[in-house]
Parts: sequence; C-alpha cells; structure tokens
Amino acid sequence: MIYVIQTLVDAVSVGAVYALSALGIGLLFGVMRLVNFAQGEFVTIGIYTLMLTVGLWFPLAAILTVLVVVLLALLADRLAFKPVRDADPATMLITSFALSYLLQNVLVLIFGARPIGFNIIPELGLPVMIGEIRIPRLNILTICVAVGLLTGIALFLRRTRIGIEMRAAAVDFRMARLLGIKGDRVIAVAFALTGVLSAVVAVLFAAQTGTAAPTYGLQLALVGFVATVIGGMGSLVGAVFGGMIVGVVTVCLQALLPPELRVFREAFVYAVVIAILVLRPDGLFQGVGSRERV
Amino acid sequence: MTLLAIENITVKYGPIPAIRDVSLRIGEGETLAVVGANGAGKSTLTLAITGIVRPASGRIEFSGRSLLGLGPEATARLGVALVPEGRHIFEGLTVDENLLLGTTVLADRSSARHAMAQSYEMFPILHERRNGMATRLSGGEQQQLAIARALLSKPRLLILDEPSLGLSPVMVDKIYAILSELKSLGTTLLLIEQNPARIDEVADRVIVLSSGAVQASGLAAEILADEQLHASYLGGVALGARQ
Ligand SMILES: Nc1ncnc2c1ncn2[C@@H]1O[C@H](COP(=O)(O)OP(=O)(O)OP(=O)(O)O)[C@@H](O)[C@H]1O
Ligand SMILES: [Mg+2]
Repeated sequence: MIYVIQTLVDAVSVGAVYALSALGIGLLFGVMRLVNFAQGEFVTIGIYTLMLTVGLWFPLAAILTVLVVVLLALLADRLAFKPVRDADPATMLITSFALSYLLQNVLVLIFGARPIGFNIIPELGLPVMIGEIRIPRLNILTICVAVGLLTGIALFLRRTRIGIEMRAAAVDFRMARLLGIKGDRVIAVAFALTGVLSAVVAVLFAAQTGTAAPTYGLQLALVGFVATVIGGMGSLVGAVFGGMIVGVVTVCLQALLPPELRVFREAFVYAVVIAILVLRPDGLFQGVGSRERV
Repeated sequence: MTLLAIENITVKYGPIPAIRDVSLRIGEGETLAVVGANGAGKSTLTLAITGIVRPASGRIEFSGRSLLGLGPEATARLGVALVPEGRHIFEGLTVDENLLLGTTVLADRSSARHAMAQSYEMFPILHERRNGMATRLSGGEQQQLAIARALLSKPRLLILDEPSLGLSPVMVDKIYAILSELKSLGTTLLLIEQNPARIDEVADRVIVLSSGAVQASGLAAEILADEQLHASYLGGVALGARQ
C-alpha cells in the first residue's frame, strides 16, 4: 500500500512536468498552428543556465533561468518564426526543427555532448515522512509548482484581456485581427508563456536529474508533442491531461513491468498512446487543431 | 464627403482574378448595397477593403488615406469594421468575451465599459445570455452578436457580408430592423447580399457584381426595379414583385 502511494506521488510529479511541457507546445500550436520542437532547446538552455548559476541563491538562479529562456523564446519568434509566419505549416515545422538542431549543436560546441553533473539544492532530495510514507521533497515541490503555474496560466487566459485575445486568436486568428487585435503581440505573448513553462520544466528537471546534456530538452518536447496529440491538438486542457497521462503511464510501467521488460518501457508507453488514438483519433478532448488557421 | 473610394481594384487568388477592375464610392452616412450571385466576388471585395487580401492593382482610400498594405489590424483601427460571412463568433468564448474583443481599438477601459453597456442596451438578448457560450446562441442571435461586436469599435464604416444568410424570416426582420436603426443613426454601411429581396429597405445605392466585375450601379430604386438586371444577375426575381 505504502509502495503504491509512493509510486503514485512519483507518477503525478513526472506527469506534472510533462503536463507543463505539453501546455507549452499546445499554447503555441493554438495561436500559430506550429508544433515548436525548438521548445526542447528552450528547456535545455534553461538547464544549462541553472548549471552555470549553481552557487547563487536558488530562487535567484530560478528567476534568472526564467528570464533567459523567455528572452530566448522571444528572440526565436522574432528572428526565426516571424519571417515564415505566412508560409505553409510544413515550412514552419521545418523551421522549428532547424532551430532545434542549430541550438542543440551550439550547445554541443560549448559544453560537449556528454552529460555534466551538478547539484542545485541537495536538501530537495530528502524525503518528508507522512506516517510510513516517504515522499521526496522534490516531488512535493514539483506538484505544487505545476499546480500553481497551471492555475496562474488558466487565470491569465480567462481573466486578462490579452488572455482572452489569445483564446480568440487560437480559434480564429483572422477574425481576431479584423477586430484590431495585434497578431504579433498575441504570438509574442504565447512565445513568452512557453518560455516561462520551459524554464520551469528546466528547473524541475534539473532538480530531479542533477545533470545537463544537449539532448534532454528534445525528449521533453517530444513527450509534450505526444501529450498534445493524445489530448487533442488545440485543446489546452487536453494537453495538460495528455501530459499527465504519459507521465503516469511511464512511471507505473516502470514500477509494474518485470525488470527484464523495463528497457522496453517506452515501447509500452507508445502502445498506450496508439491505443488511445485508435479509440479517439482526434484525441481525448476535442480541439480546434484539425481546423486550418484562418 | 466620400468615406470609401475604391478605384479599379483587381484581386487574384492565384492566376484567376476573383474581382476585376471594381470601382465604387461610399459617402459618409450612405448605405451602399452590393448584390451578386454565388462566387461573384462579394466576399473578396470585403476582404480587400479590410486588408486580409491585397489587390494586385487599383486603389482603396478611406477618408482620404490609402488602405493598401495596412493589414486588418491597422484597418480596424482606422474605423473599418466587418461582420463577416458566416459570422465568425469565437468558439469557446462567452458572449461577453466576444463583445469585449469588439472594444479592442477603443482608447481606454472606461470607454470600453461604456460601449459595452450601450451595446447590451441595444441588444437585450445578448445581455440576457452574456455569460453563456457564444456558440450556444441561435443563428439569429449569433448574427446580432457579430453585429454588436463590430459596432463596439465605433466604426466609421460597417461592412456586413450576407447578414441574413440562413436565418428565419423573423430573424431577417430583426436584422433589417437593426440595419434601419443604424442607418437612421447615420452609420455608413456597406451591405453585401446575394438575395436582393430586402435591401430596398436600407440601401441608397446598389451595385450589381457578376463574375468579379461591376455590371450595373445606380440608385437603389432604379437598379432594383430593373427587370433585365434581375433576369441576368439576380436569379430572375424582380424586386418589385415582392410588394
Ligand atoms: N481563398 C480562395 N482561394 C482561391 N479562390 C478563392 C478563394 N476565395 C474565393 N475564391 C474564388 O473567388 C471567387 C469569388 O469568391 P467570393 O467568396 O468573393 O464570392 P462571393 O460573391 O462572396 O460568393 P458567395 O455568395 O458564395 O459568398 C470564387 O470563384 C471563389 O471560388
Ligand atoms: Mg461571400
């Protein structure tokens, strides 16, 4: 029983990180119909930023990371995506791959391809005891941060004018522009939000693994992409749930599979993903993604 | 005073022109109706004016300023509002949120609030449903929402693309009552209709569009009474037959 609860907490905290990653992908897909694989490198650069700021007071390092990644996201919008915004979706997708590849290789040039170990705050690894149950502080922190950030973004999208503009632009970009809503600004804000999400994912991931490597982010972006597909492209709630599902399934398989099958864990995860998509080809939550950006 | 002047615009999607050499003028406070069959190029005209598509040639001037190359955001800020074909209500947003976005170009929050209050007064059904999802409204209510949303920007020119399409006769009455009211308030209207049956209630002048070109234009009474035009371009039913 205790083992079950510990595993569940673990699963939810991994799911929470995936959910944030998926929400980043989903937000940008909403307003731009772009799957931004370079979001992976936003995360990776966040992880390296943390590595370089080890020794600073942790909250300060975290804020710095957010600032660096948001700036990076805004620059990516301006320099890489804006010039191809009116091009067809394939061109935008290729641009996102190209940017991802470019950033990854720059990181390899600077830091090398091997993982580098570093330690943010060792105390986070210590468990909290609730009766018999040992829960790592990091898991609690992860879940709280994720819930807080998701709530914050939900309130932002519902209560602020720019949030409402973003939702409108996501369902009907052309109509939004006809009302005088500035498309550039909406897209820049969406990029900034994915920057915040990527930075937080970077902090949580780095705290969990304590290593930095040039390819870490891409894995997270892929998981985020898969999660948005499960959730239904264009549905933000779906993206969050999709991320949670992928995380929970991954951790549960790790716990339940016999040891000799664990190396195939990923294959089982994707088997579940395929099963979901066979049953619900448009994803669990009906999104607007199947429609063209107009 | 001419508010909108279009001179010889041609708009192409690919190699084929959707409208060719179209010219028109709308004076301040005037209502111009553009009629024409399916595919005549009516919607394309609205998209060219609002900056969604760029004409291959010709000029579009609004209040003496060229609109070419401005794009939809800037055009909206100059005072051109569109109630598009198909209404384009934002799905997943409430009635209130849809309307709020209509105030985007207004200078500040207090004028936005004031405009919203006015709008709810003019469209009580929207006030009643303000917290509901906009796409749950009936077709006629959605059309009112689309008109209300466009009006919230306090436009100098309101363009309506087939506002009565697909609505019940009662709702068409309602929409035309609103248009008459707007006209009496001095709003400048560009009204697009495929079916010319009701436009005599509001139009001062009418332009007949066919295959992307202007076939006739003149005072509403003259154009709408012209049996020849009706037979050739407007599905054969003379307007006079309605009375
Ligand atoms: N995005 C587009 N790409 C290619 N061709 C288009 C596009 N939009 C319209 N057309 C073509 O341009 C011509 C004019 O279309 P438009 O929509 O302006 O006509 P309309 O008069 O509004 O018709 P309807 O009464 O059906 O609304 C048509 O032949 C149409 O097929
Ligand atoms: Mg049309």
